Amino acid sequence: MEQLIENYGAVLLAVPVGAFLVLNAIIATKVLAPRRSTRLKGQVYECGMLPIGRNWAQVHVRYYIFAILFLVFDVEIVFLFPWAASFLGLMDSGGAVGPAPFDKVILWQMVLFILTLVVGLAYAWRKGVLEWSSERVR
Amino acid sequence: MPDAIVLSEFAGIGMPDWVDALIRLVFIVALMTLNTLALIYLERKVLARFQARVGPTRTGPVGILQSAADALKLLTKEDVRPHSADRWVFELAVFFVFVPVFLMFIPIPFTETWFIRDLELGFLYVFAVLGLNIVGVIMAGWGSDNKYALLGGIRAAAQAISYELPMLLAAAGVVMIAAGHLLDAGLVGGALNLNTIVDQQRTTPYILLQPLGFVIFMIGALAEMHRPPFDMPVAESEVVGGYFVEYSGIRWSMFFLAEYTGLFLMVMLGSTVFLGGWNFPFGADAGLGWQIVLTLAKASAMIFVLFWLRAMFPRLRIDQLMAFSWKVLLPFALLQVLANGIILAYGGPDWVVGLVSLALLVSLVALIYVLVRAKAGGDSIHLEPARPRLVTSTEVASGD
Amino acid sequence: MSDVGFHLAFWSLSALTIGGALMIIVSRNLIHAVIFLILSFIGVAGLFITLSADFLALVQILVYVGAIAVLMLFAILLTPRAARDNEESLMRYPAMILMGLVIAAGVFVALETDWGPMREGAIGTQAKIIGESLINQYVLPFEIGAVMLTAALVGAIALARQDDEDLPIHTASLIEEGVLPPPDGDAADAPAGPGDDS
Repeated sequence: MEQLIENYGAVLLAVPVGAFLVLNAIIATKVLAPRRSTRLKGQVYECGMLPIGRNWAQVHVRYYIFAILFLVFDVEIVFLFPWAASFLGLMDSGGAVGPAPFDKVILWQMVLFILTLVVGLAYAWRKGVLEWSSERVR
Repeated sequence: MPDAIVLSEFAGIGMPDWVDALIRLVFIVALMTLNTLALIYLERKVLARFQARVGPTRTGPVGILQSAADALKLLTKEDVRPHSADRWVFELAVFFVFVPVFLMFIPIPFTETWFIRDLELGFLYVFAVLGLNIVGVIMAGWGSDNKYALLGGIRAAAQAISYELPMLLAAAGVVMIAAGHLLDAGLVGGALNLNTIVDQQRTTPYILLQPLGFVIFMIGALAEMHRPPFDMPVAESEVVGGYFVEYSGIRWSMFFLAEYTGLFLMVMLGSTVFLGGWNFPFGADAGLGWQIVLTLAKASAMIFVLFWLRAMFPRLRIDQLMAFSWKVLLPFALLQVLANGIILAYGGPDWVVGLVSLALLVSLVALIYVLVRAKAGGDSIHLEPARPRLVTSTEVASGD
Repeated sequence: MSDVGFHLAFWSLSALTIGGALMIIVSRNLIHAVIFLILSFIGVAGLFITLSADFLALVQILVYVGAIAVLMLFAILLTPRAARDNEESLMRYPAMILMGLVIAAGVFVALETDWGPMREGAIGTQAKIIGESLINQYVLPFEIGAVMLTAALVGAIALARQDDEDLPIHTASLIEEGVLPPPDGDAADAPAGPGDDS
């Protein structure tokens, strides 16, 4: 256990090291590079045209739906990983319900779990949510 | 590699843990910088060869100093920030993009004994940290106060989350097989540990057992790093360069450093998880020297394939991109996990797992072929944009 | 890690968590608030590590930062003008009262709980233990979780999906379907195939 915390101590240490690297480069460029800021240079770049308005374009709702789809499947995968790492061992040691053939329950409960979510995916597919273009398939 | 041995022995002679970690991190920093410079040069050279050109030749012998010259130019270039940009989000985005990529190095094993830290859940850790990158991309896109940057940023984020799922499922397939092998070897746990996963591949690399997983992983890696043909969010001709339009000079190059480091990391991960890392042809007994050569050779071969793919394929449209992930890769990745589970639970041998995965891969390729053919035939026009009205020659002549 | 390092890690992570949480309340800009929320999430993940709960920490990053925070960012970008000028609203007084009560309850729990050292730590690999208890003890909640996730998915799609009428209609496809008459005049005698490049 002590080892675990020590290992992640390196992760914690890597954050300032990585940030320092970026900071270093930015400081170097502050020293080396010319700085002559003008109003025109401070404009947002839109291929040479003067920008109209701010960036506040309302993004399409489809991004939100994809994010929700991702969230659902992400949670599924979070459950899948511990199961994948341990299901064979558990089946060997007798399983939850009993010895063979009931040890296969461990497999089928995960299959059920995945299939339940596949129903969700199929629903999304059927409703045309996975379609990116706004022109709907007929 | 005597250096590597000395470093790991440093810990043995009572060096404080954090000093040891720091030495290894500094080593990685140097590796990362050199790697990026080399990869940019090599990519230009390789791409040029694919297109029957010669690539950079003027700076140094065969243009080998091109990247160094570019780096020097970027360092001395003015660092411009749009006045209307959100200052803190704009500046911090660079850190949010770069630091996670740097953090991903920690569990990657270069040799049997040389890695920064041996994380028990290293495989999951890599994906978790990769997710942080997405936040940086959205920050860069939004903070620039540029419409193209915002569009590129959210597209990049949508693409990254979409391709993370098949990748994670491919990873889960490998974890299941590794867990089975570990159980046979009488070991407890460690199926998510990258070092253990490599160690289980002393005889068979997992690419033979999970060919579909490997292909999904590589496609996902391309998409996560916004590499062509999945570079829609950073495409010049569509969104003027995407989320880093407004970044210039060294900040811009930080995005590139992150991209190429991410590319290197992804192939390192692929080489450790699917190609057996430091194993074969000489085995783990061949010593550290051969181990690092083998790992890097496998990684380089994969990078070359990725460059090749870039030269070969045109850019995917955003709708094709999303549909490919959700409608093709995700169902196939789920099928792979289910198939693995059923075969392993009923005690099927390894070659059955490999064969089923191969069959799935073949059907995936066949499906793509059929879809592309159907589209080329013009039968399913729903993916094409609406046609403009034809202007006839008589209309033009009459001056309408 | 030495004791000093551990304390340093704990206090810096706590500062990140609480500081991030405070900044969420203070910042007027919603995007800034989400970024502080992400920092706070990262701090919480770090605190999980200090408790030897590495799997939970990674899940915290993977789900909360990688998915929920991104979802929030998309949601904010979806609402027009919400982030730039976050106006005062009458709802803030009830919200303040509600949050005051929640904080009071939290403080009460913190003061009343008999805090002691953890008697048994998470032994072995955490992911494995979680996998085992999912299979052995919590089978039903696990499957119900799947149903709930699917329900959330269906609900979100039902709420957010566009109606067919909202979709932009292209003139060309309407002409093709015969809803609109083809453009009149001399265009009628021109061969109007899509593959024709005259």
